Amino acid sequence: MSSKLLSRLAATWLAAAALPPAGAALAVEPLRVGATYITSGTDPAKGSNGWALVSHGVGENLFTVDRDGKLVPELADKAERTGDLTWTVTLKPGRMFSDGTPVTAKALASGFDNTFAHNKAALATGGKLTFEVIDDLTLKVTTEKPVPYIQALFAEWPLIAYKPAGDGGAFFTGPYKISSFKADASITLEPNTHFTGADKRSPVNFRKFGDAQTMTLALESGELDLAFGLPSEVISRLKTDPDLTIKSFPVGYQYLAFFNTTRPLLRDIKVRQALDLAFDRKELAAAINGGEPATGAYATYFPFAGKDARPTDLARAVVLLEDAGWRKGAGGMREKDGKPFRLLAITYPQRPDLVTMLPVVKAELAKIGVALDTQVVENIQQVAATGDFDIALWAQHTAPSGDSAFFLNSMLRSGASLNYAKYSSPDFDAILNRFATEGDPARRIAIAIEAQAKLFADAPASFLVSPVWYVGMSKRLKNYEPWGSDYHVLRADIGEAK
Amino acid sequence: MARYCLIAALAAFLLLGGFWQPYDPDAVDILARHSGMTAAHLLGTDHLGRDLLSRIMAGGWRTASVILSVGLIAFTAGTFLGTAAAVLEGWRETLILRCCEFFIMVPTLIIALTAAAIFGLSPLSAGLALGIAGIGPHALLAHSLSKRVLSQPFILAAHSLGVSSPRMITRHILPNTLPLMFAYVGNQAGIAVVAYASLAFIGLGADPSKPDWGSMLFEYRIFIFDHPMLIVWPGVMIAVTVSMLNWVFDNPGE
Repeated sequence: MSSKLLSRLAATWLAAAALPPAGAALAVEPLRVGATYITSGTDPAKGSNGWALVSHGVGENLFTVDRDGKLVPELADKAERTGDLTWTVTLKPGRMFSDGTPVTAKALASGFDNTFAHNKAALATGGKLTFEVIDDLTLKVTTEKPVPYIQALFAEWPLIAYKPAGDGGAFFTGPYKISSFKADASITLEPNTHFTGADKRSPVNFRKFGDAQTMTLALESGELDLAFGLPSEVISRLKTDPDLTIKSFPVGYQYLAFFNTTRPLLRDIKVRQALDLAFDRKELAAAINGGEPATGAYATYFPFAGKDARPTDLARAVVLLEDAGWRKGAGGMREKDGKPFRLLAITYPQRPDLVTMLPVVKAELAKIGVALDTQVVENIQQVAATGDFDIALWAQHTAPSGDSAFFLNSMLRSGASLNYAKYSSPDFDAILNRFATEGDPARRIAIAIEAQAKLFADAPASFLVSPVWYVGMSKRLKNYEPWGSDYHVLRADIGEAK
Repeated sequence: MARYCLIAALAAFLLLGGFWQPYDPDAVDILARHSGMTAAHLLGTDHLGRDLLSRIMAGGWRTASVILSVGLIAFTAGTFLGTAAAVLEGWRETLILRCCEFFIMVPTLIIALTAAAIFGLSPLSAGLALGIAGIGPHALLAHSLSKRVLSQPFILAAHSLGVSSPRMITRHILPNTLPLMFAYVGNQAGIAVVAYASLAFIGLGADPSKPDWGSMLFEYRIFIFDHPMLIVWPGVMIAVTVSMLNWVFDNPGE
């Protein structure tokens, strides 16, 4: 054998050794995604993990809201009512969990049973649901309370679909699956090979940033392909960077202020009404460089949203405070029986807009002689649940399932698990009860509007701004289209440029 | 003389912020945001249209409160304990010194952070925490200086003449130790300014709407590229205050 031939053979062997074996996946650089929040764990039944895992592209619901705001089937094919409290849900055939097992009625039923046993937020609309397996793809669902649209119920954020795993974890059906998770820091995702188009998706490193400014700097320095929820203050600068694409989009979130109705100063309805009238929503929207003054509990593009912006009337607010016995004392601040009118307002850094709004709220309330102490807390749900606040500035998607009832039932009904205002009104509850039996869309809109009118009158919460949010992308993700607020940040159609 | 004039001017500026600012430091004027330096707003306005000079002045008063608290607590208690230990001698001296050494073992910022987490961050809570944390070093220095004075021949003479201990302290020890103690408290005051600014920057237990220099650095860091003067001014105030305190107190006799 000549030396020439030998050298050619050696070169061929080396080249072959250097190439990956047939069928092996090519090593792909992960997409680097940043946000100011991350799931607090991988247990889908705990807290708001259900929402976060769907947002991370790990899980799905039976039904969901698409980019046009329409309620559409996701894992389910259809749902049909068979009685006052009973429904039959038919699943789509051919869907798989990330472990390669088929999505069956039995597997989903065990997951939902677990959720209803451990997550009170799941009970908001239909009470405790029970599940009976008819066949592999058919599930009989019985609700505790009448539910006119069970499709909307199954699109609610606590009701992520999953199969419980033996070790306390779960298997999901979304386009990504979790490969590693560091609490409060990062989650590494890889394409779920049992979800269509896995070969077109890259792995994802999803990082939580403690504050949005750090995330902005990471995006500018090229450490991120997608920064979700950029602070509005930096948008004009980022738009001049040719390597970045910045997009804004209206969201279903509302920025609102919960008034703790059990605190001594805020028990008085006149005081709450005065505070509501003191908020200048145009100023608040301008302060965060985007969004519209809120017209009520819902973003204006929903049919059940209020039509007119909530009013600002300082003169009326002052009269209400005077009626409630709060007179101006030395220094122009109000007091009653020598006790100063001083409130504590809290918010959280995961929504930077709220932190920007906090000093504006303070300045606005000072105009009617109300002093405000402010605090930014990391664990807002925990602090709000203890009731150690007067005003909580909050960001909430108020129609995540495209229906108006869930927010009102879960956050403002008497005794609801997320009722941080501790609002208790039999009249308001009676209005909400009508949601359970009313199926006509027009009449449901009328109920939602009536419920909002009651909220405006009782003022357990003040609706402030319907915001827009900003996302920034590197060239690799310049085609990314944000929609669905932060309920669908990572999706199968993430728009990666190859 | 010039240095005393400068420190007096700084003190006047810091104290003035306690009862007067050109504008309400919390007043929001969205239409006037990022105004830049104008006749109406000498240092400009921030992203919410708040007057920066007013906020700097309000923050100055809060910082001055911390300096005064730290100085008062650490200097008074530290000087008393250190001098007493030197004069008392024996087991009482040992006990006092061991207690003071305990304060040195725990970092000042940790004590202040713990206090802020429990009581919330305010000039009072920070001044108390930093002041208490400063007692140990002050006492050890006072003890060391007092011991040196006690070894001087004139002290032996005073003892021979039957001078009582309280009189010994007031007539002979303190006049000799206080100048150096003042120099030390000046340096410690500078450290307290930085520590308070750090605590406010971290924001643990703080009211973010209160215009502390440290919290302003945190709040305005987002504008470091677009409106850098927003962080330059509070930064300059911290630097000037600390430098001035160190410069004046380092060698007061010069």
